[in-house]
Amino acid sequence: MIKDNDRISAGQARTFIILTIVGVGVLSLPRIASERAQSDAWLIVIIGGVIALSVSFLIIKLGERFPGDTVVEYSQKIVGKFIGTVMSIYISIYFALFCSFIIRIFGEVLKMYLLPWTPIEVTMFALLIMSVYICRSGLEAIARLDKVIFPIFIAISALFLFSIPDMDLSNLLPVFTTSPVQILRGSLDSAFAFLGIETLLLIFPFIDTKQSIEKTVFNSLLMVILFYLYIVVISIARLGVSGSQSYIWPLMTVAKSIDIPGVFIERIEGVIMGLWVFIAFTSLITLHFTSSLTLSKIFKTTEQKGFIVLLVPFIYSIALLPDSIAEVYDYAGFFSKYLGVTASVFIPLFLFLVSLVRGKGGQNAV
Amino acid sequence: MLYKRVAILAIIMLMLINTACWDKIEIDDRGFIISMAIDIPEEERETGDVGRLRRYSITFGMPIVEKLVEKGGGGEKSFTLVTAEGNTIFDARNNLATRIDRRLFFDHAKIVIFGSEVFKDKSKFKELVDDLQRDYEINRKMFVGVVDGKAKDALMVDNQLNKLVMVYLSGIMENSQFNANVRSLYLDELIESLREGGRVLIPKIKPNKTEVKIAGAAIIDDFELKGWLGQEQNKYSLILEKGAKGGDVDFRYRDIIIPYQIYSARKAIKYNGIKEGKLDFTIRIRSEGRLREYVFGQHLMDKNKIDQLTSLVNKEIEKNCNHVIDMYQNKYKIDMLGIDDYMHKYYPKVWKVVEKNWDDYFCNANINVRSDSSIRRVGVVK
Repeated sequence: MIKDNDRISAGQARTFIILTIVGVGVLSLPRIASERAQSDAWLIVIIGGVIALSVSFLIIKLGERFPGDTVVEYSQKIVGKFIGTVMSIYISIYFALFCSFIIRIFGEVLKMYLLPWTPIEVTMFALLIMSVYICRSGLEAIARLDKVIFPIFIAISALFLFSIPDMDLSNLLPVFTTSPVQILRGSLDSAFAFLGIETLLLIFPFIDTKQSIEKTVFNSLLMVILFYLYIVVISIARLGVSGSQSYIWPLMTVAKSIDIPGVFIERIEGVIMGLWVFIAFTSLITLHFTSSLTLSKIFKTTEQKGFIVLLVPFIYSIALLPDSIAEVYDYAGFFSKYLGVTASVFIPLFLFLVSLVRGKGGQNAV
Repeated sequence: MLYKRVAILAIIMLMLINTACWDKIEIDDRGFIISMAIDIPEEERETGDVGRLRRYSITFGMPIVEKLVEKGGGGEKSFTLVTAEGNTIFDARNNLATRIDRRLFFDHAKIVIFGSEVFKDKSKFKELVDDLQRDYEINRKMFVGVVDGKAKDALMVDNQLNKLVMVYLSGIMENSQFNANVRSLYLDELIESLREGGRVLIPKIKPNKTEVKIAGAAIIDDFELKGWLGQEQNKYSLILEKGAKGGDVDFRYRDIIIPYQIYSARKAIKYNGIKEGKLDFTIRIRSEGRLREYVFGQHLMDKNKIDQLTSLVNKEIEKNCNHVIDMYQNKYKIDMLGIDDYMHKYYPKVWKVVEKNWDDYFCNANINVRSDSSIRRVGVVK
């Protein structure tokens, strides 16, 4: 069933994974992490990263037992048709909800910093329509687009280096004053930033296996962790712990305070904002695509293009549901803490354990 | 085929015509605000309008772009001041909009000045600062100053060297990089330091008809104005807070006065534990600099003499720093030297104990200043 032009190479997979995970969560990550662990916020990032790594290895191990199958197929093989289908539907809805959050937060940030008089409905819809267009071109187009956008991601990271003269690294002190329990709970709260890794449940069989997938995933997740560390350290060093806690999107405030000495350019955050649109977009398209892919696998259709359009009204109306920005982040917290962890940790773990017990997959399957 | 092409072209043209942009504002429709002076009106009066109070009187400075362009213009004023009153900053801005045909923009604001009366009411200052931090438009890299009296006066100055008074004011503050007499404070620094207990030192602007003097600082504690620092107090306070660049230390040697120019001064706090029931700190100030003057005909190229003068410089710095510390400990009873921050970062366990009554601990603490100056150069004469 896997068409030839839907394979993505290891190099493409790397940028694909990085840009899927790094999305709208990065703007609020310094706030959430420093709220939970004060100056130990960087620990939360590392622990969150380690959890994400182990989850991704679990998903890979699971996928390797059923070569060529996505979660929709092997969940049915492992736990039976009915429960497997329920799980797949859950995963599909989960991805669609994730899309809603991305476009809503995207719209909110854009409204605050770039287009104050443009109705948020318009910016959100524009992004969603773009996503439909890319998703209809298939997985390989997405992977190639990620490859093109990756340099932009690097450019954004580099722009933050201009805030170095104003940084005070002693803001990261004292270290290790937060209790381990708090750190663990904090990394659960900041899971939103690491969600996206579970798209591997569906994308796994499409990745070229010439190179070891573990290595590819490890490299890309390492890059994500380093990027998040960089972001959190910059934000705390620049704004202080209490400053990072007070801004909704500390990263945008850091960007706003950048002042390049001797250069006429003021207000560099417009540039960062504009480039950041791509970052939000790349995670949206992956999730939009995987959601429709899951649906098409459930209904065993040959084409999934129809589902991409069908999802639009659902994603769009859910995105418009929250009344205020406070509600958006309340829902986002609930979403990542419960729904996200269920989809990315519990379902793979459950499937893996059952497949071990029942002896499904692996050598037995062949 | 031709028909198809025409159709596509027509569609593209249609798109161009129908594209709307909600946020498009032409540059000549923008009114750039480059300074704000915030005062409290003489009396808070109601206007008889629905629930409308006049609580703030804000003076906005806007450049007249046409006049800036033709530079040869000469003596004409190239900016205009407009005062608007309102319930809040935002209200004042909206009131201004009823009198000005341009859309106001705060992205390029250079300076915001508070009148000292703003601090009479704690909640008012809190409101103002929150307005400034919450607005996405406000330039976080603008300078902040305080005038003892009406803030508007600082913008009314008619300086001969720089006709644009806001650029003149921010230019002086930028000089603080080379001169420890001048303190500079960016809006984002103000916001971040107020977050911890509402405590900050804001540069004092003293205007008269033709010029201003930016020296000294207002001591703000718990969002209230507690007192003023003089020029010299400000300099040594600055050195004790975060080190400084530029600045001079005059000291007496026999019967002459010698100025020592500081290139750079760095400070380091050290906590020595508890001695005789008091917290004990050492603040080390390491400075580098050169001597500016001596006596005509006498030479300074002598290691022993320089060592002797160095110890005099050290004594002078220690004396003045002790004066500032004594002032904070006994007169104002607040920690402006950042020792709380240091304890929190480097001694979190001790900090947990002393955190609640920190100001008491600070006032009773033993703070020793050790100056370690180096006279590196003596000018071009032997």
